[in-house]
Amino acid sequence: MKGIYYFLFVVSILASCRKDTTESPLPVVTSGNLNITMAYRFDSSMLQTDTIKYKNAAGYKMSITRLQYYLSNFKFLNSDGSTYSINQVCYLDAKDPNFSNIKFTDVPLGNYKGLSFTIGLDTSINKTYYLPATVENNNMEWPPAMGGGYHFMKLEGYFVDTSGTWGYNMHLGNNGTAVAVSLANKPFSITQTPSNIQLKMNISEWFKNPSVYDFNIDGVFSMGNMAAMLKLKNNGSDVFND
Amino acid sequence: MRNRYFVVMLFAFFVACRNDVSTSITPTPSDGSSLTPYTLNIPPRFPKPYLPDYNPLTVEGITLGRRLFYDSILSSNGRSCSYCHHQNLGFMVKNSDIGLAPGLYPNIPALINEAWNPYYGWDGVFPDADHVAIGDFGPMFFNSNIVNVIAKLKADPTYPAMFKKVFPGQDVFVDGVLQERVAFALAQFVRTIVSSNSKFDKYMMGFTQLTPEEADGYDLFMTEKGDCFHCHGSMLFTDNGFHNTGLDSVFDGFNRGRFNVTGEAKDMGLFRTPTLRNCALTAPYMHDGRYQTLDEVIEHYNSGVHKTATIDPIMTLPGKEMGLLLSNTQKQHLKAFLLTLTDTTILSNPQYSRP
Repeated sequence: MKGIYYFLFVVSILASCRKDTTESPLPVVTSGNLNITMAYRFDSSMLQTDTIKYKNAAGYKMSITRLQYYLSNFKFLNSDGSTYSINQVCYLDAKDPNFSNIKFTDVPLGNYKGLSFTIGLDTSINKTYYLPATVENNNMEWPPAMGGGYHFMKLEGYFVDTSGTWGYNMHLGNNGTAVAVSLANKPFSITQTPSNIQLKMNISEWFKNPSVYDFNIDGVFSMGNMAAMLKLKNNGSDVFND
Repeated sequence: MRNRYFVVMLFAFFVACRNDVSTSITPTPSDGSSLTPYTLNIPPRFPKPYLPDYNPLTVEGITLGRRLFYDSILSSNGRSCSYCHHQNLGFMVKNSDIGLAPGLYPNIPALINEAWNPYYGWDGVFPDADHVAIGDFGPMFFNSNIVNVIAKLKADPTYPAMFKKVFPGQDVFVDGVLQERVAFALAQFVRTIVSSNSKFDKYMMGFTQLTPEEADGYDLFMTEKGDCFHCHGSMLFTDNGFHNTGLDSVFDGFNRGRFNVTGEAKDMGLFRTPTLRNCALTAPYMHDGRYQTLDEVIEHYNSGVHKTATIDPIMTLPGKEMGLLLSNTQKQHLKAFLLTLTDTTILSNPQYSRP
């Protein structure tokens, strides 16, 4: 009698642990995931924040103490000329590992020849309180009195000129200052296993090409200064040309 | 005997099926006990609160924490948490209550909207709210004799059952354990103190209007003219970050701020941004309580900024390195706006009052 209980005991454990082996047709996998890892450099140097060690095109030594921004409006370019669009706003922070990656799920399988995206937000979504009320989004709000919506980017730090060390605050916001980025020749594949690519921002590019941005001429506060923001915008389209 | 085998078999079945649950010293009241989950009220546009899995909000935990908050049973000097954290001042502390001179000791912040606070202490030395109150047993505050505290709690007609309910299966009446469990319960109660019923909140919901003076102050606050919003923005009126706002040119002792936690030069003189909600009630101001009035605070930002290597870049507007250079009228209007952040309802809300 005792043996029966031992038998039931073993069977119950095995039964409770077994996998469901019901035969069914395997689903056809048509999509996969893409992980994008963000990286940052200042010309030939990998970014080291909070250190005045970089020299910008205007000749000032400078540091980066804050780099927070949105990427949105992602489009993946198929070889046949079609695009796959992703309606996802991604907040990124160069100093916070929690916001150093982008994950896209359910991307159609295939070989893509490149991608495009926006630094900032399209006009249609750059509205006060449009984004979920996360701490990060709330801290990126652009005051309604200054046009509303969100900061597209906060790039801050210090620079040194002949008179001393000063702060700079390159803030992008307001409709018309979002930066369109096209990386038409950055091929990647989406397969059944997660794919990985890296986007590397060269921060130096914000201050050159096509125009040198000079803190002492163009301003150390760009917020509320449309001319300064447009100069940054025009310089920003190639910051991800790695 | 047969029954014993059935029990063993049944136990083995459940053990084999259970999810992998890591062992933790912290309570997990949701693991089958009869604790009642508490849903925190999240006001409009407030972000997700910081509510740790290891100390989830429960009705019973909050009830225990609230009773402990007002009970001098934890101390040897007649003090309770409420001895310093006055509800009628928005749970602000007067350092003078405990004999601390302004400017010489950290200014203890008001206990409002702490559920949205990722760090505790002006320098962020505490990574969560759940362990902060352990320090209150020390000589400066409760000066507790833990043996006596345990004896008093055990002898109380209701505390043993309350602790047992909130922390099932644990012997909390042990030196070291008790302090943490008390701190957990207090953290639960404190996290329920939500302030979001100010005139400004009513204005944002369209229920009232700001006066012209308040509206002008709001404009100063929310534009580059006053540039308060970069650190005190959105509905929390804090970015939960650390900044050097130019209070000092020389740093020593606790005035070194975040540096004392990280040891990194970039953090010298940085302090956590306090919420401005209820600032009319929460004098003194700044990390060391050096300012007694909002006028003094505004004047600091207007003309008293010290430029040092770690001053926040946002504080370095050319021509205004020493401050905002607002007119007297602008300063008055800015203050008028700050006064709209006062939420008088929490001063007498029975949910937070002595039970």
